[in-house]
Amino acid sequence: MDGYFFRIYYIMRKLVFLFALIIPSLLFAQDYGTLTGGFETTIQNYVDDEPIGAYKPSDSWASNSYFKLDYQLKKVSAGLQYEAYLPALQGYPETFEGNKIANFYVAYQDTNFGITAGHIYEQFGSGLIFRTWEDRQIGINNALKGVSAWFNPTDYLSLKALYGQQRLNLSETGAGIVRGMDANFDLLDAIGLESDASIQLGGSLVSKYQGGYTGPADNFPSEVSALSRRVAISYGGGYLKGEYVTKGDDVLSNGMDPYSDFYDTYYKGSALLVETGYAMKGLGFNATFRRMENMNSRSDRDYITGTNNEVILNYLPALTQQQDYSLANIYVYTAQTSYENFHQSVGEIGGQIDLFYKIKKGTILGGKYGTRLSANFAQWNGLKAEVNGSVPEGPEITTEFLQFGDKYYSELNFKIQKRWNKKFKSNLLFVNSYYNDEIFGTASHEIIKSSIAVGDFTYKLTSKKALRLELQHLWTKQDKKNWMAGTLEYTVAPKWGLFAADMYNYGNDVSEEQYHYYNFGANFTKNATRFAMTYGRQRGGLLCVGGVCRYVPTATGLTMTLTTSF
Amino acid sequence: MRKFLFSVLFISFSATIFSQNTLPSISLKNMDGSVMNTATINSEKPVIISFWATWCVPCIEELDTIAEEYEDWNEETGVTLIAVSVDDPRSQSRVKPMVNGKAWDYTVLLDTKQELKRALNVSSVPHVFIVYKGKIVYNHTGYTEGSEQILYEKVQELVE
Repeated sequence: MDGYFFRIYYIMRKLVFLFALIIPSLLFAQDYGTLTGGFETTIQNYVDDEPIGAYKPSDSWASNSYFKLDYQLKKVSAGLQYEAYLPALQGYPETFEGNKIANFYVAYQDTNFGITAGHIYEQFGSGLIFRTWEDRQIGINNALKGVSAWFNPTDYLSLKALYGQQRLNLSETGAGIVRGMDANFDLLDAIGLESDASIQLGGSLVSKYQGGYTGPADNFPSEVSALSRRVAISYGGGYLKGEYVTKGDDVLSNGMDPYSDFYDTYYKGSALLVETGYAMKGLGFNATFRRMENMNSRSDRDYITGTNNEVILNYLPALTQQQDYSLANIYVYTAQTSYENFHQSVGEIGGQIDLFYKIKKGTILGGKYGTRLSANFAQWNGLKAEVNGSVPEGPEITTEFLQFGDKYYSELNFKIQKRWNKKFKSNLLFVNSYYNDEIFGTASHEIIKSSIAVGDFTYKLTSKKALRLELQHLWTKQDKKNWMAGTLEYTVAPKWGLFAADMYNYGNDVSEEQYHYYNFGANFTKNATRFAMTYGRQRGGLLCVGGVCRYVPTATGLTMTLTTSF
Repeated sequence: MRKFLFSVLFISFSATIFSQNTLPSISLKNMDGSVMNTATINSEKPVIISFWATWCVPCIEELDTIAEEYEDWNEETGVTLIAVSVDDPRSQSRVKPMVNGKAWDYTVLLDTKQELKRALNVSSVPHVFIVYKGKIVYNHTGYTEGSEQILYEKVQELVE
C-alpha cells in the first residue's frame, strides 16, 4: 500500500509543478478565467478465492486514476487529462499502463465559428459513420488527435470538418489518418416557412488512409471512404428519422488475421437506421429499425482483429434496452456488425419498439399518484446471406436487403412503477428473452430462453432515511439454470448509504458451482465528492456499455472509488 | 506521506480559488431539434440542472419524485428544472417517448456527445446543479430517497 501512495505522491508532485506553471500566467490576465476539473480513482485489492476461480495477481493492488483540468478565459479554453494505471484494474487492456498526460486540447469558440486542436470528441449523425468518445468503465478512449473546426454561416446551415489520428494508448495514435466533413441543413428555416413542422437534412463524409501496404493486390484499399445521408422530419408529437451509410471496400475484421488470405478480399459496408415515434403528455411510442452489414471500422487496419476496442471509428451499439438489474445483465445482446467467418454469419437486421404510458392520478389503476407503465420489445436476426467459402481469396458474400436470417436475440420486457403512499413505492420488471449462444459463444453454445422477474421496493422510514429491498429471479432450463438475487440498502439522504447484496446460482446442475456472488459496501457523498467502498465477488463476464464491451474477469476483493469535481 | 497530503491540500486550495461558478457555453438540442445555448439559461429565479439517462434507475426515481412536487416547488419559489439527458445514440430515441410517457413538465436537453457533462466534470449520473443569478451555487452527485427535499431546501434558502 505504501508503494501505491508513493506512486500517487509522485504523480501529485508532477501536477503541482504543472499548477505552478499555470497559476502565474493567470495572474497577468485581468480576468483570471475559470479553472475546473475532476478527479476519479478506483483502487482494487484482490484476494484468492479458489471456489469461484478468482486468484490474486502477483501485485494484489491495482488502480485506475484520472485527473482532468480545464481552463477557460472568455472565448479561449484549454485542458488536459492525466491518467495513471498502476497497474490497471484486472480486465483492462494491457495497453493501459503507466501514467501520463494522455489528452490535451486548446479551443477557440465564437458564436458562429469554433476551432479545436488536440484530442477531439465528436460525433456525426447517430455515430454510425463517426464517433470518438471516452468510457472509463469500458476502457475506451478513441479521441481524434488533430484539428476540428465548425462554422455556422447562417441559422439554418452548420458545417464541421476534422482531421487527425485516433488515440491508441497513452502515448501513441493509430497509423490511419482520418478526415471528416459534416453538414446539417434546416430546410423549412431556409425557405423561411413559419411552421410547427421541421425538416432537417444532413450528410457526412469520412475517409481514412493508411499507407504501407506492400502486398501484391493492386486494388488494396489503403483509403476507405464512407458516406452518410440523413433526414429528420417532425410535426406535432410525431417524428420520423432516417440515416443511410455506405462504406467502400475495406479489409474484413471479425475473427480474421489481417495477414491471412482474407486480407486480399475486401467488403463494402452499409447501415440503414430508421426511427419513428409519437409522443403526447402521458403517452410515448418509439420504433427503431436497423440493418447493418460489414460496418466495423477502425482507423488502423493492424487492429481490425483487436479485442481491446482500439481505434474504433464509429459507434454501433446494441439496440436493446439497457437494464440496471444484475440478473438482467447475464444474457445481453451484442450488435453483430460484420461478416463472421466461424458461423458464416453476416451483420444483423431487426428493431425495437418502446411504449411509455402514465395511468392518470385518481383513476382505479392510477391511484392517488398515478401509475407508470413501460414496455420494450426487441428482435435481432442475421442477414439472409449466401456465403461461398470455396473461393481461394476469401469468401464471396451475397446478402438480401430486407430478409431475415437466423434469429439471434429477442426480448420482451414490461415495467410497472407505482407509489402507494407517502412512504412506500415499488418497481416491478418482467423480462422474457431468447439468446442464441451458438452465435455469441459466451455461455453454453445453445439457445438460452430465460424469464426474469424483479421487485424493487422502497420504504421511507423518516424524511431522510429509507430502506430499499430488491428481489430478482431468473428462470432458465439451459446453461447454468436458475438464479436468484437480492439487495438490501439503507440510505440516509443525502450523504450515507449501506448495502448488502447476493446473486446465487442455486439452480446449477453442478452443486459445487452453485456460487454466491455476495457484495457489501458503504458510500459517502458530499456535494460533488463521492467515496464508495465495496467488498465482495465479481462475476466474470462481458461488461457492455453501448456498442463496446470489456471482459471482466472473476475477482474477489476490496474496491474503493473516489470521484470529485470542482 | 506529509508531502502527499500537502499536495492534495494545495490542489484543493487552488481549486477553490478558480472553481467553476458559471455555466459553460455549450449548444445543445432540445427534443424538438431546436438549439439552446447553456450560457443563455435565465437564472433570475433558481434553475435545477439534472443530469440523467433513460437507463439510470436512480435518475428516474429522482425525476419522478420531483415531478410529484414540481408544480408546488415552481409556485413557491419560481424554480424550474432542466433535465439534461446524457443518453448516447443507443438509447437517445427513448428520451422523447419516456419524458412524455411520464408526463414530466421539465425542459429537456440532449447531451448526446456528453459535451456539457464533460465540461461540468460530471463523472456519473444522476448529478444535480442549482444555478441562481448566473452562478452555480450547489451541486450534488447521486440520488438517495429524500435528497430531493434537501435540494429543495437549498432552493428555498436562495429565494428567502
